[in-house]
Amino acid sequence: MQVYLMYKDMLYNVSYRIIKNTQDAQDTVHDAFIKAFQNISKLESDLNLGPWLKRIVINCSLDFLRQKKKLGWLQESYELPETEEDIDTYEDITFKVEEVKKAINTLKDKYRIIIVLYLIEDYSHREIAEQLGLKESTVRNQYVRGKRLLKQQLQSKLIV
Amino acid sequence: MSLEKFIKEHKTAFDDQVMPDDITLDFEARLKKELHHSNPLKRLRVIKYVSIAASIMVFATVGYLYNQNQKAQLEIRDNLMLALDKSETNSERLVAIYDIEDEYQDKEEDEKILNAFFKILKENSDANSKIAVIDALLKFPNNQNVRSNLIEALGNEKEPLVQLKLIKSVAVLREKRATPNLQEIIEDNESLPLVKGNASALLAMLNQ
Repeated sequence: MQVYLMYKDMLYNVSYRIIKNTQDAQDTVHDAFIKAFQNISKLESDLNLGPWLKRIVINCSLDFLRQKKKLGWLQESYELPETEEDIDTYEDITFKVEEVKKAINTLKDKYRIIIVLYLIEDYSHREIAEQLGLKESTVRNQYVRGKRLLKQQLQSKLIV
Repeated sequence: MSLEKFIKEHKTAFDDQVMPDDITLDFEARLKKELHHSNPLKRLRVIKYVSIAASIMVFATVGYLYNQNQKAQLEIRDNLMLALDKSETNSERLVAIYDIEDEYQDKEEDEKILNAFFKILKENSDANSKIAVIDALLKFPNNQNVRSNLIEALGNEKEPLVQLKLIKSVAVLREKRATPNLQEIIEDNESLPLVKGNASALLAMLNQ
């Protein structure tokens, strides 16, 4: 239970960012802990416990969305050629965490999940592609689009 | 500071949710139950059935979509157009453009959609929408109307980021008809040096 108490909030935040529902995120965290405890022998070093648990909860959260058929957009994600460049247009904006969080939450799942995994959970584009079963180029493009949408939202807030 | 850098540097500030204490007891009880009475075979079976069900669902969905008739396709097109027309903010417009691009990724171009995109290019739209539209239009490099409109946009555009995007597009299309517009950009005192430089490089390439 010590491990649970130490990591529950961290895992809850990770799961909530993906699932966006408090009750479902709590259940998913519990599922992840059970899964982790059942597979604890596979953990190579105690030092890796935090990141290992994080990976498990991310897997469980995505599995949850798959089961709830909330990852339908994966079937609609075509293999996009890498033509979309990342032109940074709003480098001069001063950001606030609360506003950025709100803006991330308004994004469609297909952009939000990739943004969260890449920018907050430190997944590489390749890892996200493997996790979601997409081409790496598609993930890169969705990421660039998500970032553009995010900036657009934050910029429109400044104008209003 | 860039948005990317800001999020990465303030990552910990995004962790502000706390698990309610009262569910710890629930978990303790569940943990005891699961670890002492877990039945891997049963779990495996459940996972297997869920996977089969999910696969059937996916196949059924794909089959259903595949068999959509022309009428349904037009309906999708009209809904996308409606979303684009009704978009009130730049963000909504950008989402609508991306949705259209995704929908037409492996389909032939649609005249109505193309015209809506051309309109965005000609209007005083925001730079991000125009850049997204240019990306979407580049999916149809063999369409003469697309090529002509991109060249025309290059002649009219004054926003540097969009100008750069158009110059790169014309380079991809190797459009010699863009030569006068490139010359105009180079001679325009209002053009940014970066834009002029890109235009000159492209002009040299096209004249080779």
